[in-house]
Amino acid sequence: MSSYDLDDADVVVIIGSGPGGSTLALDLTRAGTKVVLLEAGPMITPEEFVNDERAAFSQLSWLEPRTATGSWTLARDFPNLPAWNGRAVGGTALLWTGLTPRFKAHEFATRPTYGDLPSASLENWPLQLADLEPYYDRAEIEFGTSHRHGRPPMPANNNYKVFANGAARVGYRHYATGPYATNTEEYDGRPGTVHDGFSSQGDKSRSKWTPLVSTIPKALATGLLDLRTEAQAVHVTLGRDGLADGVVYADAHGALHRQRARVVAIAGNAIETARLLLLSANPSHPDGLANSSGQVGRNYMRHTTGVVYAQFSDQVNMHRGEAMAGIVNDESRHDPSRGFVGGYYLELIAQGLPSFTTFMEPGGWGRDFTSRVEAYTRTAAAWICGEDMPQESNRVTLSDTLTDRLGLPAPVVHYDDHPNDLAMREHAYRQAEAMYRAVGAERVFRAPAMPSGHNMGTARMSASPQTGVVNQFGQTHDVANLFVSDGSVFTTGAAANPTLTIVALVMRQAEYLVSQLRAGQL
Amino acid sequence: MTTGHSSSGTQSTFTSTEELLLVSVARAMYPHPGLPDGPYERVVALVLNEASRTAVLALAVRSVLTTVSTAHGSPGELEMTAALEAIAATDSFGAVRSRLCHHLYADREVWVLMGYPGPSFADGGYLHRGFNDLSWLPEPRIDESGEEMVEVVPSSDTVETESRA
Repeated sequence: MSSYDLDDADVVVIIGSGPGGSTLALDLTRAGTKVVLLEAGPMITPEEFVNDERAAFSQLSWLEPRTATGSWTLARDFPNLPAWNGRAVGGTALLWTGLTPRFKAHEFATRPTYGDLPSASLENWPLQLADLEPYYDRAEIEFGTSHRHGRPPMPANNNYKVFANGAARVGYRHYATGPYATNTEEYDGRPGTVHDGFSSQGDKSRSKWTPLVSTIPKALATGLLDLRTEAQAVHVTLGRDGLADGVVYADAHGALHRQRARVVAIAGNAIETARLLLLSANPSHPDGLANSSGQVGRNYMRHTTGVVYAQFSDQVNMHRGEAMAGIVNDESRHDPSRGFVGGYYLELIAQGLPSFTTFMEPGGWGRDFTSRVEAYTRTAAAWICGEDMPQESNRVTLSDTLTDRLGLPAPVVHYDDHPNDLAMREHAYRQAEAMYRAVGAERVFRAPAMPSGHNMGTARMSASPQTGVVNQFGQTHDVANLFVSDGSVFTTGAAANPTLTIVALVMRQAEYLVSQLRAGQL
Repeated sequence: MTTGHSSSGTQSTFTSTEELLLVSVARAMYPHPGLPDGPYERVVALVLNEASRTAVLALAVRSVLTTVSTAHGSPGELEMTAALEAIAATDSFGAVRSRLCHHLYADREVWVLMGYPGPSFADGGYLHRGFNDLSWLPEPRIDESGEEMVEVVPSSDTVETESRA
């Protein structure tokens, strides 16, 4: 691994080693660029991952203080854990399950498609599906996504058999076990899954695509990557010319260092990216770095979600196999006759007993609760993943009272459900319940949202510098050599799980960045 | 995690009678008829250990115990449940319930009773151990449908507006 001097002003500094940051690191180093990649968490190898939901949660999660406020159920159920993010090399991909649907064409142009909704800040993306398609292809090939580019489909696990039969019986046509970014057979030097049921605990087998087992080793192999772990960025500095010229970061002991930089790219996931921009306020950017639009931290999106569980007289054993290898696409269309705009997916979900008892009724107790626990092995489950409306008042701000281990203001994540979100969720709950009743469920029950894995929109893309934070390449409107390389840039959230789109956008960004560097523009 | 951080005073110290009462609380909150006392006792020991280091939790435990204790000793399950329901909205109840639930469903003996085997990687996962052994439903399709999907269904309102325009 390379090691660059703190005073080397020729490096690109990337903050965050998740899907966005690591993809940028790989593409830049392959193009001959020197990269320093800062990761707040440690390097944890697959051998160190554990088949234990609780222990893995402690091992891999971002557990620094956060606060949830607003009318969403998370402010009540998990007030200190609005989101579930990774804090280790590989980022939140260590926790992801791997469904990779693409955005649909109209989801890049929601304003004309959905119309004006009160209090929704819908905007069109400054790019179209056609602009992203070649990069979607590349991202799917990098992931080894099932059902795509010659990769075989995931096999049906028990939970999927219930889910898919239910889908077919209510008349759904567009269901399958993927696209799913986990190997069913050896691919790209990684083995096929053994269906151990612990892919969200890092995945010991390396069959799931994560930066830890794919992009990071490839980037290291170029000899141009300097990966610094337990290095948490706390401030992006600007030079007299108004360009970013360095990043201050804290090491494991809290000591501060400053790495000089030619270009800075932030990929800290939507909460930490917005927080870092706000923490980097300076006299010329008093409201936060690159925030002349006032949009940094705003339009926070997390998808409209919920879980439907179904109890049967026969065994299901949902804990066996890939947790999310199943998807129903039929409701992902935009069809306002359902009483809401946008669409949603129904996706398979499996939980071990500790997670099941934490999430199936937060705060639950008593005989009714334990009767559901006792039916655990006879229970199937589906997760709702739908487009939530962006709202300016749903936002990440800095706490006035709460601080992290470094003494820096913690993020406050405020979110109120939009009426459209609530109407969509109700529809989705009913449809999932109907699916399970159609295959003989003895009992169905609903659970509210879990801490958000999909975090988006806090540094939104826009054609105009007045209405957003970054342009179509993730370059901030205000600071030419400052980029955002994660789901923060999403103008709207679409219904699809975000990781594939994050990686496709970053691949496109990397091409642009390399061309700008070569042209001497950066 | 040593006792060196214990809060001082009697607030965080519990008698064996109180510990037994908390075991009854745990069973009333999470009743599993097939579960022996062992797991409940282990869980209560873990919660009281946490309470010895966390004054807020110690106060919460004491508050819950005060509510459910009677002059005649331990209440029965029905009486206990009624007493718990009366305080279910309080922060103290929430704090105690949350820790009991957390530890109870991490207990290996509880896992066995509920049929959850826990770790599987060391046994080769479920690739050859039944990840797809469900046979009470037909084998579903796993490939994507070849049918075209309509992605945007125009609303009747929009059509009307457009025709007026």
